[in-house]
Amino acid sequence: MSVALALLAGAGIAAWCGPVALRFCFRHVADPVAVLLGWLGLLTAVMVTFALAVAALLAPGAAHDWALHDLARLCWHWAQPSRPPALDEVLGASGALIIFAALTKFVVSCTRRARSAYRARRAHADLLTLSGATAGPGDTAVLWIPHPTPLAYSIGGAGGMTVLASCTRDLPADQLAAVMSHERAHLRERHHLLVSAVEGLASAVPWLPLTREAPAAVRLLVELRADAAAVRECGQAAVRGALLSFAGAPHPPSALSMAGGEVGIRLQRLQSRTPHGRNLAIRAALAAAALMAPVSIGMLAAVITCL
Amino acid sequence: MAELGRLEAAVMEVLWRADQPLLVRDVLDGLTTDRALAYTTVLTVLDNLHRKGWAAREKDGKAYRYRPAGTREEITARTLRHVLETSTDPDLVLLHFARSASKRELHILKQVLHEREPEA
Repeated sequence: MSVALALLAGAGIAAWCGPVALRFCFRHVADPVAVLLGWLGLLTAVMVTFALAVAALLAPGAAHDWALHDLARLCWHWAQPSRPPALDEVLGASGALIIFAALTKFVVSCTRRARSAYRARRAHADLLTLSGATAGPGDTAVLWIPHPTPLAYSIGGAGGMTVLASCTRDLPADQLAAVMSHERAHLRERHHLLVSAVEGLASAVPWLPLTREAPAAVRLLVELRADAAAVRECGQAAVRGALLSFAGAPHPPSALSMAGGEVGIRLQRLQSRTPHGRNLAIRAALAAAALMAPVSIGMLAAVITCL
Repeated sequence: MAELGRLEAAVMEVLWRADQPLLVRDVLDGLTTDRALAYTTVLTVLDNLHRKGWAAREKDGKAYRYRPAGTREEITARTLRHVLETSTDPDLVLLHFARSASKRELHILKQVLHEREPEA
């Protein structure tokens, strides 16, 4: 088995089984950042590994079988380039085609998303102008809109801000503070950019479980992350109350809402003894495991097929 | 964007305060900003406001006279409708539309409801 095929197999297996493993991690790890690093690490690793495999398949001449020489010693006869080189080239060319198609779709989808986000920003800037107020600097910017439905969301990018419906002024002060703190965390940590990048990937490669399931998972994880920030600043009860007040509230598609993600899971997390506990060791472990996964699985597959 | 917003807000204030359609020159005279504005700047802002549907204009000789295309509340409701039209909840969009509908839109809605009644 050549290195390229091992890498292809590794990337494929990681992309198909990764979501299951990450869902398992989500259930057992309290720190949302650790799981988020797992998702982002695995997405990056699968893409890089696939690109490397395609490059190796298409590399001219002897590079076809720059097979793992250690493995070659392990199982000598398998290391011989037993398949006709034409198959490698066909595989490599199809891989390159897939990469090209996915990249094109990614760029198109991201452009569309960016345009819609820009329109939303412009419309909200107009609402700010009409309100005659100033929004405040940086991630503390707040726009109050006259509306009887309790709305709370933030729009990202340059000139991003927290948007609140006027009727939410009637909420208890601690809940309002929790909402602001939650949305500020989204803006501060550029969650909008992260979510739209993952959504772009999902629309570029919708047939791959890893990219298909990433947007929902990442949306929930950034909400949990923002909840954690709000709990630190305003306390658990306030965040819980705010979540219940805003459950089901609508928002523009490019925005991150207070009631985004699965509110049930977020409430459940808030009830646990150590909600969203910060754990640096698990963060490092999950990120490393995710980054190494495709290559390790590929090598393992190569060894198993050789034995 | 913020700078432009402040200028647009200031120009709209002048239009709302006036009791008749204004020439660009009148708007420029009515503005009390901390720096002197060029005639063309105000002209551009008014043109933008007209394009956005916040200001209406009518020809007066060679020039245009501008007036606000609604009260602050009306224009806010319209802009908000644009924002919510893209929202993830169609029910809310419909509700907001019904609440902020103009007389003509309400008339059309009533007509449709009237047509539907025999079916129900």
